[in-house]
Amino acid sequence: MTVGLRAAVAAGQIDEHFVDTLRTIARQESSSKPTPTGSPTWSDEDVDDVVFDTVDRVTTTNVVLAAERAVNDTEFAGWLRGAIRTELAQRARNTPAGLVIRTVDDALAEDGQFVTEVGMWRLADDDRPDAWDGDRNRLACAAWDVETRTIHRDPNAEKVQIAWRDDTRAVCKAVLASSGPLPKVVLGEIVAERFNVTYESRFGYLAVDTEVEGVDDVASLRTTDTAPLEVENEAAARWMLTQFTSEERVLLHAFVHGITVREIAERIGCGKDKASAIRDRITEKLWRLAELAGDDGQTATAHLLRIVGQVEDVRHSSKDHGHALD
Amino acid sequence: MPSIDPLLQRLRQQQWPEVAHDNPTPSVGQLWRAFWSTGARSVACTVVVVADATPGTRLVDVVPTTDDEIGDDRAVKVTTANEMTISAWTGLRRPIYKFTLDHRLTDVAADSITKLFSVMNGPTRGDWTPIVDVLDDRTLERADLADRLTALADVDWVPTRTVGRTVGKLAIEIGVENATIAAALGISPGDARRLRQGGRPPTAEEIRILTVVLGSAPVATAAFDPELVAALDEPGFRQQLVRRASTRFGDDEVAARVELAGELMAMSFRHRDPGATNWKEAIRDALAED
Repeated sequence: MTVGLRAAVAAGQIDEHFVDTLRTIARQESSSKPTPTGSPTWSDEDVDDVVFDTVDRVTTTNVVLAAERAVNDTEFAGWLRGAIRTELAQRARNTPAGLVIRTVDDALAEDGQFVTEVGMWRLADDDRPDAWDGDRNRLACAAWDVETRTIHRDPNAEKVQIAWRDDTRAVCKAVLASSGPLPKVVLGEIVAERFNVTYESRFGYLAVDTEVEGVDDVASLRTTDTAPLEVENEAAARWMLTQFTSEERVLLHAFVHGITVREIAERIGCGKDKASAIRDRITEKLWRLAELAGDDGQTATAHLLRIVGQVEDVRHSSKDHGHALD
Repeated sequence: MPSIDPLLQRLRQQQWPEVAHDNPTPSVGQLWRAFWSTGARSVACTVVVVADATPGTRLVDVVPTTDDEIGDDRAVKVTTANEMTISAWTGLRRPIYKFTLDHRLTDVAADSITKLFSVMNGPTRGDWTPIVDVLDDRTLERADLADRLTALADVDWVPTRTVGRTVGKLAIEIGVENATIAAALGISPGDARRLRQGGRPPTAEEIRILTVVLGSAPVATAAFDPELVAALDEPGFRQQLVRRASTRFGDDEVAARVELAGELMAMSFRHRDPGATNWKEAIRDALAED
C-alpha cells in the first residue's frame, strides 16, 4: 500500500503512485473477467482503459471527495477497488439507468393499460394533462405501497432481471395513478429506487454475472446422490444469498446465533446506527424471503444458513493453511 | 528525458477540482473534511458548516455530505465554488467538536446555500424520495453518516475529571514537600510545583511512583481553563498540532494537546501581570517554537 496515497489525491496530486495503485487494482479485478478483445489475457492497454473509464465515470470530483472522506489509504483504496469493480460489471451489463428504462418500456409496452407518447408513460384511461407536480415523495410512497416479490436472480440469465414483469407493471400502475403522465426517465428512476437497483453496486449486492462467493467451493461438498427436493432448496438458498448485501452476508451465520448490535458494529467496524439498521434488514429479509422461496421456505432458509456456515468453515480452513479465499 | 506515463497524462488532462486545504474560522457554507483518530478507531466525514461558529465555544453545527448520487427527502444537491456537486444531508444536522475539523475543501455556492437552508429549516423537500422502508438501501448510508457525526461529537481530547484526590491534596494531607516529589519523579522543583497545583496531569509512570510516595493513587487529570480549551480547539491550530503530534507523540493528537495545554496552564500560573491570559497568542507563540 502506497503511504500517503489518500492525502496526495485529496491535495490534488495526481501522480505515478495513484496510477500504479489503480493499475494494480484493475489487474486484480479484471483477471477473472473476459477481455474486451476476446484474447486470453488483459493487455496493458485494456487495463489502462478500464482505469481511465472508471475515473471518467465516477468523475474526478468523486475521486477527490472519496479521498477526503476516507480515514486512511486502505479505506481509499477500497473505494477505488469498488469503483473499478462497478466499471467492469457495468461494461458487461450496460448502464443501470438505461437498463431500467428499457425494462420498464418492455414491461409496459405489452400491456394495454399503459400508453406511451412523446417520451412519457400514462395510464390508458387517464386523460389528465401532462403536468406532474414534481412531488417525487408521493410517487415513492405509491411505489413502496405495492407488495412485490423479490426477483430470483438467475446467474445464467442473458439479461439482467430487476423485478417480475407483473410486479413492474403493478408498481408503474400505482405510480402513474398518483402522478398522471410521467416522463420515462422519472418513472425509470422511481422503479430503480423501488427495486434497489440504483445502489446495487454501492452496497455490494452480487452481480448477476458473478458466482456466489464461496458457494461454488461449497458446492463440491454436496454428495452426488442429492434428492431433487434438496436441489430445489439448495437453488433457492443460493438465490436468497444474492439478496443480501456484502456486509449482510458476512453477518448471516452469526445472526442466527443471536449476534447483538454491539457485536455487529465490532465485527464490521461501523457505528451503532448502522449496525442496528443491518440487524433490522437481515431480520426483515429472512422473513420475507422465507415466504417467497416457495412451499417450504423454512427449509430453503436453513439451507442458506448452512451454506453460509460452510463458507465460514472453508474460509477459516483456508486461512489456517496460509491462504485466504478473499 | 523520461517520458510521462500516457495514462498519467490522460488522467491529468481531466479537470480535477482544486481544494483549498486551509483552516479559516468555521463559517456558514464551508465544506470541510472532519477527521479524528483515537488509535483504536478513526473516523472521517465531509461536512458543510451550517451555523457560524461562535468564538469561545467548542462546537460547530454541520451536516454530513456524500457524493451526489444518493440522498433522502431532506438531502439537497449542492454545488460548490470549485464546481463539485455533492449531497448535503440536512436531516442529520448536529454539532460536532471544532477540533475535529481538519481542513476546508471549498465553499458551497450562494444559491445552493439558500436551497440548503430552505430544505433544512422549512417545508421544502429535498432532492430525493423519502426512505419509507427498512429494505431501502439508503438506510445503510444514512445510518453510516449518523454514526460518523456521533463519533465526531463524542470524542474529546480534554481528560475527564474523575472523583479522587489530586497530587496537591494528597501531598498536603501527608505532609510531603515539593522537593520529595521532585526527587522521586526525577523532575525539576518547578515541574513538581506544577504537578501539585494541577497545572499538568501526572503521566502513567508518575502515578505509579506517586502512589508509593503519597500512599494513594492521585487522579490522572488536570483542570484546564475553558477558554484555553476553546482556543486550542480552533481549526487554525490543527495543522501545527498534527505536526507536533507526529514529531513528538507518535501521531497522538490527544497527547500533543494535553501536553501543550499543561505547559500553557503552568505558564499562566507564573504570570504576574494583571488581566486575563490571551490564550490564542500564547498558543501561537508556543507552536512557533516547533
